[in-house]
Amino acid sequence: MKRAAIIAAAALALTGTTLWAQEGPPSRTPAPVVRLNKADLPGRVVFEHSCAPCHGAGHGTDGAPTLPGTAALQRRYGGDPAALLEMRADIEAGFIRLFVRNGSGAMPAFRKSELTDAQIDQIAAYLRATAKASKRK
Amino acid sequence: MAVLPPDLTAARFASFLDELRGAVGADYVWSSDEDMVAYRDSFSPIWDTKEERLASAAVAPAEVEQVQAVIRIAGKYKVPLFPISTGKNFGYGGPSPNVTGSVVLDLKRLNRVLEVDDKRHFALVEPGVSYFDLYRHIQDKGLKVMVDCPDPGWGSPVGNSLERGIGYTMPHFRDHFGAHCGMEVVLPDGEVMRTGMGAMPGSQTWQEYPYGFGPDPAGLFAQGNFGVVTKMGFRLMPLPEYYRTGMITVPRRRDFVKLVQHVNYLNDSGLIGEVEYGSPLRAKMADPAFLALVTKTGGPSDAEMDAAASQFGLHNWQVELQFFGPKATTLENWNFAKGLILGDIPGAQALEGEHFALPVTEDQLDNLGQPYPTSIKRRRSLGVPSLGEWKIVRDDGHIGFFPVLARTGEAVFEVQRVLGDAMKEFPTLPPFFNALTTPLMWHTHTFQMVFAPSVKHDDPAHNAISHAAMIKCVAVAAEHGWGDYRAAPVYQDAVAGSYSFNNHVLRRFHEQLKDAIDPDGIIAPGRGGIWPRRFRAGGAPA
Repeated sequence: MKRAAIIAAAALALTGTTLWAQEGPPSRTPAPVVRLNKADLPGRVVFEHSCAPCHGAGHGTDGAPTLPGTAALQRRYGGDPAALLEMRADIEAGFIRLFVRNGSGAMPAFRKSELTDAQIDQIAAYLRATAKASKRK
Repeated sequence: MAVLPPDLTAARFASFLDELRGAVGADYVWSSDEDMVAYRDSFSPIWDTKEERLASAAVAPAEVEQVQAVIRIAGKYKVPLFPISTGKNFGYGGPSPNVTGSVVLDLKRLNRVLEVDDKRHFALVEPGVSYFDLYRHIQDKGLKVMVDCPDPGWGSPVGNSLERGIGYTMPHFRDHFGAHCGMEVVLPDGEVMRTGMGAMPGSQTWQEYPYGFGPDPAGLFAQGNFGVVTKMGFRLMPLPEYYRTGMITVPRRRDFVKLVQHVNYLNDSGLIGEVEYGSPLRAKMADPAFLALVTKTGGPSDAEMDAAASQFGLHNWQVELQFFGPKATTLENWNFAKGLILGDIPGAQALEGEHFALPVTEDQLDNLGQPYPTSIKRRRSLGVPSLGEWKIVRDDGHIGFFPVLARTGEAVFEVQRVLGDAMKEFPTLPPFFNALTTPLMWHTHTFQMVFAPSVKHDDPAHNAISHAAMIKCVAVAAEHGWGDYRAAPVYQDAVAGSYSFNNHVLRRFHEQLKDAIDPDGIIAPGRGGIWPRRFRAGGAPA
């Protein structure tokens, strides 16, 4: 990595927004929040409490266009499949379990004491229903 | 990956797990490789090496009585337990123990907000309660108090304060352990103890007077291993009427000395909340010549930095101020701060920032209305937990070294130079310490600076560099009297060893206490660098 790139990455990593704050945040106009038809299922609350703080549809904090988990999936998939989990009708519980129980990148694994297998099943059902309902619009 | 507790056979381990299942239920004891992945430290610089600290099992009680039962069973089998609250202590070890083979005592299921009082301004919570949970409870009930939260909201007020974590509001709330008031602890023999006024039956003031009578042992349970905290009280700030911000810049490098003195006065007088120091010159670090200047060995001279600032047409330093309180008071405090600093530092300038009545709106939380580029994170400044700041995590995580130093400009310049030069041994790491590195004023009365190299699960060579740099940072800082405030288990012996006054009498005192109440090391042996006799005899287990 070039030295200047290291500096930029470091300043961002270390002080959060400190470097770019001097230059202006990367986005003063966050991306518009996606309108979702959220399914009225038990998994909605579980998702909103356990997943949405990183993977929700809202924009990120202090000028970030998206939340960190959504941003990470956008970087990984380039938008296909959708970075927003609530727009993913294809995700099965087993797939979610794989990532939740093992972690991925900056996302740590989640323990059964904080998220049960039954709750993961509920999340999967909620995501499928929400994605299908939202795409109909 | 399967491991056993120290000195325990597989057969005895199986019996031990059976007894745990009897105490908490079969669904809340885990020991399979699959289940234990989530108890590894995913931010570990020794990930997948033979030095990595791995737990043998985990047990998750839901009641204090179950915690007592687990501790007594562990005592019977001499199995070390490693208590965690929500297990989110990332950068400092996560949920992983000091001793391989320990059983994680996972307190996530003790998740009750027991009381929040917005007339006397306190909360009493269990360790599995997260900042998100406490915030939701306050919002749902319409209570007029503010939480002081760290960046990631999934952590636990109990766990964070026991790690001496910090927040971002007014000085006496930012030090989370300092803001605690009363705790309940299960001791290594399984007895339940309450500190402060909680020790007096019938007392109504457990969360209002922390000391009770006689010695207060509460400090032993922060970064220590003398018991398992099952309840903890916290002082809460009444929801302020108004929030105001402003920025002050000073032109010359040496002006930082006076700027710090004035901000110290404002902080220690209770006139301001957390401040964000910075430098407008950071915007120019992509310029190779300027980068070379700010990272030069021995540091640049004041004259060199002043010349660069003049060339760029920028000031050397800035500080962002935050004010909480009645609207008129916040305005007067801002006016006072401006007068104090601009009247003493020639060329200093002040910029009015956003200000608004509380409670905050969603639009205001977005923090897009500042008339100048800002480093303040709005949610955390207003006690609204989030995970938005997880965006700073690069690669698979990072480790953290935060030396404690004097709140003076001179001390900041010295750390920049000394640690900047020391870290040149690791040229692939970012130059965390350079001539523009500014201090953090998180804890109430001190400065800290940050060193946080990343880890990569698939790059052991990179991790080895981060690990070696971390060890060197601790050592070089200690030579200058700058001690780390918090550390992952793999670094705790080194950090504890740097607090060595009078032939390590502090450590020896802790060891005497540990030997008296937990000689077999049932509670987190090695945590805080404190090893009981059993583990000292053969040397601290790796």
